[in-house]
Amino acid sequence: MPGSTFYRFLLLLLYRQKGRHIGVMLIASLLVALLSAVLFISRSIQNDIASTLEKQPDFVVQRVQGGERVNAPTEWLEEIRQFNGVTEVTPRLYGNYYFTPNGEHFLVVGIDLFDEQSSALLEAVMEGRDLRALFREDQMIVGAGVKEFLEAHYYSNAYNFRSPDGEMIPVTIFGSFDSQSRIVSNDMIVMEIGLARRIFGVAEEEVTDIAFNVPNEAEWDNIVTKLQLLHYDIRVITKEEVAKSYRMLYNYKGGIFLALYLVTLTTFMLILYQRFTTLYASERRSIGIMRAVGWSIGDILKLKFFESLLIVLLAFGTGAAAAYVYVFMLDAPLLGTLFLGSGNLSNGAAFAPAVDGGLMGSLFLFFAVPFIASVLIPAWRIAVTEPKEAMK
Amino acid sequence: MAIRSFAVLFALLLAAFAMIALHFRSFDHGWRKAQIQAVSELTGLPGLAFSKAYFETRRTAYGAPALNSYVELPVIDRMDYLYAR
Repeated sequence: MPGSTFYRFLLLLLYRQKGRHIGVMLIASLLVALLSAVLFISRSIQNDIASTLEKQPDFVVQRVQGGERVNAPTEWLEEIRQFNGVTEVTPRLYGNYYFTPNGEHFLVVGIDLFDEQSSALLEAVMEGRDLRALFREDQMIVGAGVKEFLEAHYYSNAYNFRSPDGEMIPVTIFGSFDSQSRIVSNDMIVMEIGLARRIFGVAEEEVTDIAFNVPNEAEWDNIVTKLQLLHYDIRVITKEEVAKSYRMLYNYKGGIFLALYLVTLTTFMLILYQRFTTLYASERRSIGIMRAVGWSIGDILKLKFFESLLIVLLAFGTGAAAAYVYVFMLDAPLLGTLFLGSGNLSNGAAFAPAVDGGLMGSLFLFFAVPFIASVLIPAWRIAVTEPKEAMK
Repeated sequence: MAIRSFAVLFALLLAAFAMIALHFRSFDHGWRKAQIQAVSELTGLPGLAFSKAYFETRRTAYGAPALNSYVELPVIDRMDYLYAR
């Protein structure tokens, strides 16, 4: 291992040429910060998706007509309940409600308040509130985005929904979801299923779709076959398919971003290589002098290796730290909008800190190896020439 | 002088990482997960509240595949292409 004199010389050399290194370090930090920010946001969203998927029903059954989903008849509920091994068969009623003046829309979800599990969950979400008030009049629980939107439009206590036949249905705001759940509840309105039925004009004998669980995973394929034999206009969506759909989406998009990053990184390394090979006549001279005073090729390569390693570490550390602060402390202005969208209600969801060590390690390798190589190769090419030639 | 400058630089970087570690540790991951899961379990809907325009479905996972012979191929002609990663 090189001694302390070596490191002292290394730091002196870096300090003397700081102007040259600062520019390279800033560009490298910016590259790392950009990609790290994208990875942090993506990891955070993926973690939230994983959290939601854990609580999804095993199966969702929909009725299709001409390839589009239509309301399913409630008779299907009883037919599904007849299958052995099926539990928690739940009718679901949900849909988009348009706030016409602005073209915004809310996701209205109707839940059965008499269902024990739903009541327990509501109690957990609205901790400290008396849920009996929900039964006394038409009330709703809104997401943080909906609440902000309604308040901005002077509907701070209630909102008048209009049913398809023109009836005005005033619904009081009972409460709102915690802002930490904004990533799923921002545009959501939860209300009693009967009320949602009136707002959407859905008949008593229809539901949007049907969810149910099959605790024994070995039975899953069998259940899908049974369902498909039951009706021809049925679409069965399994929890596995939903998870796979998200996984594929992220791997696919991740690949595209990585490809873009590799193109940028390659361009940067080529510029760096070009700069070290052609621009620096002084670099050639100093390597020639070192060789002339007795430094071996190995010593010179060692010096250049540690020099670029130090720059890489500083650039990577600065870039990654800046990305963390930008995403998780400042909530990623601009980039966050790109990821969360801006077509509907503004989603001020904070990203939960999530750092994938393996991914950051791979990013470091992808960044450090070409960076060091683009400095070491030209240095080696100069070092192997005659010192007299190098000093010319 | 050179060594002192580098020592200051590294100290600043270490302080930044210490602050990040503190922020990471102090964030209540359990509370956030519980809140998200409670809403998700209550509604049973998997989609995230991406702020999409009214003509785009929120229920990505329930959409039809791009190619029936390769159902895993994600559909790319949608705005959600921008949102996830």
